Amino acid sequence: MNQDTDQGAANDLDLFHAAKRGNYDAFEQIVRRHHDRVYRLAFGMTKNQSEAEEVVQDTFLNAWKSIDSFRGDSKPATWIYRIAANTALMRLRSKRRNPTLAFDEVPNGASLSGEVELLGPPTAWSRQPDEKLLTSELGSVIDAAVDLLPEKYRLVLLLRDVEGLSNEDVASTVGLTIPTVKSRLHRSRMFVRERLEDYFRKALT
Amino acid sequence: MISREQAVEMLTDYFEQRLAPDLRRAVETHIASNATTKHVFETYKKTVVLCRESQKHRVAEADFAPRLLAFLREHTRA
Repeated sequence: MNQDTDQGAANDLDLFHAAKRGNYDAFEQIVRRHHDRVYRLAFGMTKNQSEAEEVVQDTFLNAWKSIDSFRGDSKPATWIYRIAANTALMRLRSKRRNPTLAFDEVPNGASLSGEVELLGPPTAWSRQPDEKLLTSELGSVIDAAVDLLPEKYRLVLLLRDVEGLSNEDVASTVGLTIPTVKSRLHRSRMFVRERLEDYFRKALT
Repeated sequence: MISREQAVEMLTDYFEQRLAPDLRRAVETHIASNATTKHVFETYKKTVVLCRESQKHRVAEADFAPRLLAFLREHTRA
């Protein structure tokens, strides 16, 4: 095997530089390494298997075509996520099927108490083990809540809380300032939290 | 008096354990001072965990990787 693409040793940066030199094996390793994560993000954005697959295909096709523009000043994974995010957003904008919330309908959530009205006594769901709470029904509740978020909020939530990017990497991926990332993340989390609060109030009482 | 934006930044930094010790103590005192605030904070943390756990197992169909590689070979190589 080419030294550029030695699977055990090559890190992402090595692979990207090899791919920039035209090494297609290196590019395929990049695809193998990252396609699961890109698919998860694409599915989270589109909620549709075939559309998610098309987003992944277009993401890597665009990545190969523009690999020369990768300069190494962002992490390779962040560069791929940036292409994936733009591809998913463009696809969603061209289709505009599902209604989402308007920008100002996502709760502001500046404080943890001042703008939250608990409609009834708090339920103790924060103390339940995750395994006990994570039912397919709850998964559907979370999906529905995330799906309702405006696309730009949903993207930040998925990149930060599901994909585990740092706030800095999310900001670089979506082209926002770090304070804006934090604000969108907080408002998205508060929105999903409120949907879960409603669900658990009915389920646990 | 801090602005709304500063409050959000402080809360997210607290949540990610990036606050300076004195600010961290101030936020903890605030959270502990009110049952509703405490409940919201605890469920906020739980929401992040549940959201991640419910979404992270999503994977493509088993045959997607070979189909993807075949698609890319067809569209990228002369």
